[in-house]
Amino acid sequence: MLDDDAVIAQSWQQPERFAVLFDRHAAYIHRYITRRAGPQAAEDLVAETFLTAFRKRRRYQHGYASARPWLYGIATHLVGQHYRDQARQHRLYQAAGPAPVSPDFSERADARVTATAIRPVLTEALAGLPPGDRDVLLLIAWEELSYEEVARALGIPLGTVRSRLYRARVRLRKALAPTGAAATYKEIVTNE
Amino acid sequence: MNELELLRDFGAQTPLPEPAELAGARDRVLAALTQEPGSTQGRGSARTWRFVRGGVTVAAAAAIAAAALVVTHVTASPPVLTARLTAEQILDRAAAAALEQPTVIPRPDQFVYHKTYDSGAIQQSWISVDGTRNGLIAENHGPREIVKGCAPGHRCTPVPDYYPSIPATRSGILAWLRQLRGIDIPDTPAGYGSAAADALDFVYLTSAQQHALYRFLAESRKFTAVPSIRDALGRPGVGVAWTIDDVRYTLIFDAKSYVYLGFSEGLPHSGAAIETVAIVDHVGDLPR
Repeated sequence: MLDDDAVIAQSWQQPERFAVLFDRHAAYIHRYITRRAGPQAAEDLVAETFLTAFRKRRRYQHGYASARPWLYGIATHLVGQHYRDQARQHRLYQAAGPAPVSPDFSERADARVTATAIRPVLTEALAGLPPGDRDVLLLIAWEELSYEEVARALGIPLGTVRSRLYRARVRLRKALAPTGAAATYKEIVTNE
Repeated sequence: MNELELLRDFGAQTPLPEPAELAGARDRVLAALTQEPGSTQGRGSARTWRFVRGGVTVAAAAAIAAAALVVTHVTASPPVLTARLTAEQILDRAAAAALEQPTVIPRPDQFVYHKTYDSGAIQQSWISVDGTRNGLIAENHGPREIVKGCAPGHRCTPVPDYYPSIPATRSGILAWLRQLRGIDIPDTPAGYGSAAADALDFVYLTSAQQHALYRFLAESRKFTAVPSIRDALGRPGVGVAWTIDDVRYTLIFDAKSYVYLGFSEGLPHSGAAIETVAIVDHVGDLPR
């Protein structure tokens, strides 16, 4: 079995080899996109992630056994674009009359999970973060990427990863503190 | 609980998707891949790439007539209750089982026939033993693909499907695996596992060569035992596994005979299962 590096190189001459990457990583990219954009958008964005990766494969930076951080970077970009498109649609709807059917990030997140006292606070706090800070935070917290992998995924320096993560954590902590959200959540978990 | 732990707990509530949830996206991606120049158009299975060069090995049945020597016809053994084995013990048993099989040495002018099951497609291939003759890959629902051989006197290098003299020593096997892959092999479970899977999937190994490879893998002590697993045909087996990015890759062996059944790649029903391996005289010949 070849590692991702070799598979991508092979796909230059044999495009269908790229399907190997889909089979290896699509489940994880799908879960990441579902976490960030909801299940409705997941299929389209997963497909677009791999199609984009396929088109850019000749620019793939070789030397890494796993291409997953690279794919996370592409998915992150597409999720951001997805929200920008939704915001534009939202403005158009507002100008034209009825509100869009599509809910925003926090509403969607609310709808797809069981209600807890903390979730609305957490999702609102996440939605309030600068996009770059949020990307770093979620790639580390949810996808368990290392600092180096996040730097590679987003194409940013390692120092920027550290500073964005620090900023995001401080803002999240501040947002949660007045509500005692972390403590409440702890109590819920403890009592279950 | 700090804010990162809180986030992780929320994230953990979203499970990995079932394969069916990925099917739509997979179809779209594969459709785009097959539109690219260089693609083999219209293959019935998205995963036929696994056996583009040729197939797997494993000794088992007896040689039949001169026209077609069946090397392996893998049928499922009934489930057996065995004590939980370590990966080394599984590989040792596979090595011992290999030695009990008849040795079938192919002639350079013959072809290695494989019948495999991969993602719902049955694939048959006839690959030139010494790489000098044209071979063929045929799929049940797809076109036939000619595998170009490199005849003597032409400006090309034959790619054999059988290597008569693979060194039996540990360093010799490692060097051969490195040559086969064309890249260095990291001293890691994934490095050794990937190289072994390549050897099993892309070249023909005699029973003695299989024995040497399994012993090499056992002595490396790099793998994790999988006490129960089913291959792509649903046959019960045991396995030795390694992981890359949380995806588990497994070499699967029959639970009773320890004959190599195939390869599993993380997701359910992914991977390839071997049904038959044989040595035949001509492209299109079938083992009897």
